[in-house]
Amino acid sequence: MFMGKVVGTVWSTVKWEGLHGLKFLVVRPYHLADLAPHLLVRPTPYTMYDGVVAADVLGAGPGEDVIVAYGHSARVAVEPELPDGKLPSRPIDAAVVAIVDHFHVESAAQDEE
Amino acid sequence: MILGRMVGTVWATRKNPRLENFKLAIVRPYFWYNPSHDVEHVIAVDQVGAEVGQDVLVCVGQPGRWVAGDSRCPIEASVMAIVDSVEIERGTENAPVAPFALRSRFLPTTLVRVGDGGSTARDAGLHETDGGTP
Amino acid sequence: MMLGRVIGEVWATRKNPRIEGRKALLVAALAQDGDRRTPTGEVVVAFDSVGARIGHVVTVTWGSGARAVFSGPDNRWVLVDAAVARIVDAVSVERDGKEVEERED
Repeated sequence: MFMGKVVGTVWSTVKWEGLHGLKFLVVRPYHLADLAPHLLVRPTPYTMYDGVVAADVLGAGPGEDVIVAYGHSARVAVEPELPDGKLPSRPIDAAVVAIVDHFHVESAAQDEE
Repeated sequence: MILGRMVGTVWATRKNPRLENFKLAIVRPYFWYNPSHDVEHVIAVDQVGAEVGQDVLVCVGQPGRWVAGDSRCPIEASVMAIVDSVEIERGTENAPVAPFALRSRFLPTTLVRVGDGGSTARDAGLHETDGGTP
Repeated sequence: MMLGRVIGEVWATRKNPRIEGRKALLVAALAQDGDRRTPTGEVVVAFDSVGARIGHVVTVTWGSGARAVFSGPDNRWVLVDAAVARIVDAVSVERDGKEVEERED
């Protein structure tokens, strides 16, 4: 899973049946350079162009921070109720599992070594 | 999912028999995150009848095999949707934290900028900054 | 699995009910760089299962392994994509042909 910022939305009418009712958000993942740059020991490739399209059922909007999960967990996240024995079947690979209220990251002052 | 543009089709006669009757689309991602290898193009099974030049969504992993109807199909990516519009918030390039930008030389054909009347990037004559090292 | 360093924590009230009660940690990925571990720049979110704190070096497990950390044999409905499974005390690396242990505290 990763934490990212919602920067946009993708709209589509012609799509595989299992995707109806899902909203698709463009999420820009947070990088160490955004959260705790003092921990980086060397410059890393520019991340401004990193992005993922994630399905959303929680109603996140642009500007909000979200947690996105991949794979099986993403498919479980967009199925609220399923009868016993039935496995998730929406054809997605990423989904929003939480809308972030706030987060805390260690500051440079805490990192004394 | 990956947002990209369909840029071509792959024709192959010699292939795994389980790929018979599947159209293979060449999709160039507009953006991606931590790909396991350097990627300029993704080959994906087209399940929605996309055409060259259209913006599409590609799903990676198992769902491609469900959609093909055969879990033994050697498919790991599928075109799942044809995109009508991509809305990106204006001002994300210059955001104080986590700036986001699209590559100026390869913008989605269906891009719409919002937060400022919603005009398209082309109509407004917008020029994207091309990034660089921080 | 990967090695990482816990750099923070995330709180959310609007979330999928299947992750209720889980503590979400921000973990900076570490890569072996010669005989040191340095951050790659990637930051992941993983659910804590061992009481890890900021500054701890941990292992993060993904996928079905992560689900197994939080449940029993039938875990298809557990919503866990990444889990912190272990706080690392020491990593031994090869240096000059010998295995040397480096403590993480």
